[in-house]
Amino acid sequence: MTVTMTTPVVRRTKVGWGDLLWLTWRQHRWLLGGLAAVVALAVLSCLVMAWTVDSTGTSRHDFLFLGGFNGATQLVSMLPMAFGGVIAVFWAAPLLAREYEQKTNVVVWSQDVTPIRWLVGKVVLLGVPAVGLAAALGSAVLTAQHAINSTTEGYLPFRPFQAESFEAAPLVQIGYAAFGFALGLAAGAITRRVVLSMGLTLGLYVVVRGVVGILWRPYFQTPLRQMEPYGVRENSTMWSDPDDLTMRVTSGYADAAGNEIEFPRDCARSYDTNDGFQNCVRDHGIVNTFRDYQPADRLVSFQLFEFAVFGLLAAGLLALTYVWVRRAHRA
Amino acid sequence: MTTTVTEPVEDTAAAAVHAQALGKRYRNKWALRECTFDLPAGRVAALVGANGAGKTTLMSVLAGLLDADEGSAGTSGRVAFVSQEKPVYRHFTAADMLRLGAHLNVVWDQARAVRWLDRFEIPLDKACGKLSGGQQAQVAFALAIGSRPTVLMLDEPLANLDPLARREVTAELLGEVEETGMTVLLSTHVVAELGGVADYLLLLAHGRLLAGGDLDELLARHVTYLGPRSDTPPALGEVVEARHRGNQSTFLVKLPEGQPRPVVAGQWTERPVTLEDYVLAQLAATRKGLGA
Repeated sequence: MTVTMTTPVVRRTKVGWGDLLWLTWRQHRWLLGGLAAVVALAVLSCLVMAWTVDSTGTSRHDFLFLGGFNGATQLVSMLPMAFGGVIAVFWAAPLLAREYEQKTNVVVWSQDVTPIRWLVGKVVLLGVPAVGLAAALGSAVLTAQHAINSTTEGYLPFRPFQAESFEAAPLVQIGYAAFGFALGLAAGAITRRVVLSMGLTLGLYVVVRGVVGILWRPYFQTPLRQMEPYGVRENSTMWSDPDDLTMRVTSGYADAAGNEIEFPRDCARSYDTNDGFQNCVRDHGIVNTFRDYQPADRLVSFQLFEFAVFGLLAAGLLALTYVWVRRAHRA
Repeated sequence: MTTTVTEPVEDTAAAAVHAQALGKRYRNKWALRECTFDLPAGRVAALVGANGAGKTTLMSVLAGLLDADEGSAGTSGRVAFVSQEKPVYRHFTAADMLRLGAHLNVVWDQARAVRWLDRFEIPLDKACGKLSGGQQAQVAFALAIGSRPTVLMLDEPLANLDPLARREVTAELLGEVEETGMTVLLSTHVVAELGGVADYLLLLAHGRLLAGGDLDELLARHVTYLGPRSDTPPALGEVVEARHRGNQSTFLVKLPEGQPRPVVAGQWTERPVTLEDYVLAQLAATRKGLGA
């Protein structure tokens, strides 16, 4: 007796999220799994270190071959700074580019899913994990940094406005990951070449992060100015206060009225006596010295602002990708 | 301003694919212009034309992958499209490609897709990247067949298949058409492949539709005359192609409509026109017309 198995023809009304999830997982499982494993390892290390420090009250422990906890935390603090870039270059940049390059976009878009539906699926199903991993990594690293700080007397190894700390804030991390994802996606949609879009994404990501983090961040708000008479530096708290958690923006010289004066170049030479330099500076009208800084209580609003900047960039780039993919339908 | 509407065909009930003054341009160059036809349901239509005639563009527009710049197009139901490259995901196995079909289509016939792969002895568990070009094409066909389209569009379907596989694929395709009643539109520039497959012809040249219609009717309206060297054919009609070799002349003539078929005698003989004769004559005529 023979039994013939016939699978019936399946009929449904629509292609659901579960179907797009299957496709996304099947296509990107190594990327997803690989990065999730790396993040899980980093998060676990951070939490173990923080817990050990909290329960023993000291950070003088060895961490594998990485030296002490301080060194290990320094090292793991690099991860959040690079994470958005990894998402941008390895997750997002090839996402559309590879489909175009291997012409598989024609396969997937000629099934019962429209390009836009497919795109929205990919953005949500890969973008949400990317952002989630970024937030998890950031908060774990911050936890480790706080633990190390809590056992340190004097100058703190992790200061709030320092890039390693400022940028590890979960919200800021979410902004970077979203921006990186949208940037890579847009580059792939426009170039349609995997290697080109990865290179372009890396370059643009580094430039934008650099411009915002180094050039713009110190001026998110007008810095405050602290001024004191020139030459009293030795007994000043303006320059060497270990509890000072502000962000230093700039410093310089001013005359008696408080007007900024450029440093006199003539004085940049060698002198016979110790006072020679100071006398030269005073002869050029310099009476005061000042520093511009951002006070510590602006930290959270700065992080919110940074998140908003990258969030808006991400939204803009996603819109660009949407328009570009729609337009490709027409071109 | 022209509006382009892609809508299900309703007014012409029997048409599976419908195009009305369809046009598509890349920057300033028109790849397709004033393309109007109705392809009746259940037919196997051949879309024939030289390289660059606009075949792929027309199929992409009909498959909904490209928007037209003018005119309108519609299909009577779900369309499956297999592009010229027959792309597959290289890291997917053939079975994964069928899973993709099952997940991304609202109708899926697994048995039919598997049967196609069995028929061509494609291993289900091997990554597509490790299959030959011809085997990858079979996976792409199986995916299209499994989605049970109303209209199946194949761009150069036989291009990277060996001669035996070509014959088998066309036979299987005709079998599927018979069983499911789907409409097939396949493009090619190798006319010899079409013998006995297509029953409808769409002939494209330079982005315009030269001729379209039922193949038998089209061929019946044409005739080839062979005879002594002459500047004119022995009977009335529009000369599509005239060839003169030595003291012999051959004319491919389009017979005037609504008149009885003329009878020739004496030194002239009459021969029915084959599809290949017809297509090559038409394409040669447009090429000469372009050069003049």
